[in-house]
Amino acid sequence: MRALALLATVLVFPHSSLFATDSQSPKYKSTTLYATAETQFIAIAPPPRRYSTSFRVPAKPLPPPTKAKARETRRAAPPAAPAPAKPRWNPWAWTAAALAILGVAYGVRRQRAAARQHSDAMALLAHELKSPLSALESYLDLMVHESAGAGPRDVARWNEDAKRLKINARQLQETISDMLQAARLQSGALHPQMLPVDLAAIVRELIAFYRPLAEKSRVELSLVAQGRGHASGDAALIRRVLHNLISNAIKFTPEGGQVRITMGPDPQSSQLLCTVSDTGVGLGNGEIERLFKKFVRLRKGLHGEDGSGLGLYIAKAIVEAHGGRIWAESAPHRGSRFHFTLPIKEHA
Amino acid sequence: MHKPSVLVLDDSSDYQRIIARILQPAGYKILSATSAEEARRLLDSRIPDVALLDWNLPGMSGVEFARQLRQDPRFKRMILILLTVNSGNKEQIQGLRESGVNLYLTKPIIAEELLGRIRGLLSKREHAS
Repeated sequence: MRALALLATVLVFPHSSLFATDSQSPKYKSTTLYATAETQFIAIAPPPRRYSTSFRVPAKPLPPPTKAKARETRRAAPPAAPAPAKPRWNPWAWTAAALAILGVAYGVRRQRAAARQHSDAMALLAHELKSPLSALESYLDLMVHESAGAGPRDVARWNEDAKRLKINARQLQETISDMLQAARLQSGALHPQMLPVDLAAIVRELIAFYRPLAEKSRVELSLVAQGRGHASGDAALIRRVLHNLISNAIKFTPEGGQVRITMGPDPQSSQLLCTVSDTGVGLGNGEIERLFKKFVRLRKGLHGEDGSGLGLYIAKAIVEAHGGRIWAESAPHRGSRFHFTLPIKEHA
Repeated sequence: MHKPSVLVLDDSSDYQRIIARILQPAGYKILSATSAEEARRLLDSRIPDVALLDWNLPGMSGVEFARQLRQDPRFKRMILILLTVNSGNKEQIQGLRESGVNLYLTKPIIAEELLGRIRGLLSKREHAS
C-alpha cells in the first residue's frame, strides 16, 4: 500500500520537488544523482571575473582598494553566476503529498471495508438460502430412506414432513424475493402506483396466511382497526411491508405471546397509522438505530427462524417511497412496536 | 446389549426431528437439547456416547461447546460431531481441530452417511479401548 501511495504522489505532483537539492546543506546532497551532479558543477566552476583581461600589465601591483572603492567595486560587479540551486523546501508540496497519501490510504481502507461488508452480506445471504434448502433436502432424503424400508412407513408423519417442507420452501421464496426487492431498491426503481388500498383487508389476509406459523409457535395474532383503514398506495408493496413486520413479530415473540396489528388515523400527520406490536424479547436502544439498515440481522428468531437482514430495510424504503414514515419503539423484554404511516385515500 | 445414546444439540426443530427419525429405528437412544445450557443440564446426569452439535446455536456456538466438553475429563471419550450448513474455510477448520471435534458433517443430513459415520466412529472407539 505504501508503494501505491507513493505512486499516487508522483502522479499527482510530477513537478513538485519534494527532495529539493541544496548545495549549502550537504544533508540533501545524496538524495538524487542529479542533485549531486548539479552541486558539484557549481562547486568547480571558476569564480566570476571582476575585471577584463588585457595586454596591459600593471607596472606595479594595484594598491589595496579603499573601503569606498571596495563598495563601488561590489556595486559595479557584474551579476554573479546563476544562483546555486535555491533551497527548495516546499511546504505546500509536502502538505499536498501528505494529503494525497492520507487520501489514498483512506480510499483503500474504505474500499476494503466495503469489500468486507459485501462479502459478509454474501455469506449471510448464502446461509439464508442454504439453510432452508438443506432442510428440504434432509427431509426428502429421510422420506426416501424410510420408504425404502429403513424406518416405519408412517403416512401421518410424512404428511407432517410435507408441511414442514412447505414452510422451508416458503422461507426460501421470501429470502429470494427480499433479495430481488433490495436489488430493485438499490437501482432506484421503486415508483409506487398510488391507488386506493384497503389496508385492513391486507392485514386480515396476512393473518390468515400466518395463522399456521403462529399456531405452531403458540402466538396469538389479532387485528384492531379503527375506521375504515383505507390508504393510498401500491397494494403489493404495502403487503410486503406488513409481511416483514408481522413475520418479525412472530419470530421474536415467545410461546404464549401476542402479536397485534392496529390501525387508525394518525392525529399528528393526518395519515393512516398502522402499528404491529408484540410481547416479544424487545430491543435495546443501540439495536433500534441499526434495525432499518441493510443486512443487519440482530438475532435468530426464537423458533429457530433465520432472516436475510433485508426485511426492515425494504419496509423502510417502501414506506418512504409512499411519503410515509416508519419507526420502532422497544425495550428489552418488554416487546416492540413498529409503526408506519401511509397517505390516506382521498375522497374516501 | 448396550444401546448407544446420542445427544442432539440443534436449535432447529426440523433437524431434531430428522436426526431422531434416522437414529431411533437404527437402535440409538436420543437425548435432545436446543441450547448449550439445556445440553449441559442433560450432561450432568448422563454421558452419551455421541454428541451431534450444530455449529450455529443461539448464544454459545457448537465449536465453543465442544471445546468446553473436551476440557472436562468426564467427556474425554465422547464422540463429538459438528453439523453445519456452511462448508468451512481454512480458519474454521483449524478452529475445529483445536476444539477436539472428531468429525465435521455438512447439512443436508443424508441418513446413510450419518448412520455409517456414527457406526464407524463407535467401532473405532471400541477397538481403541
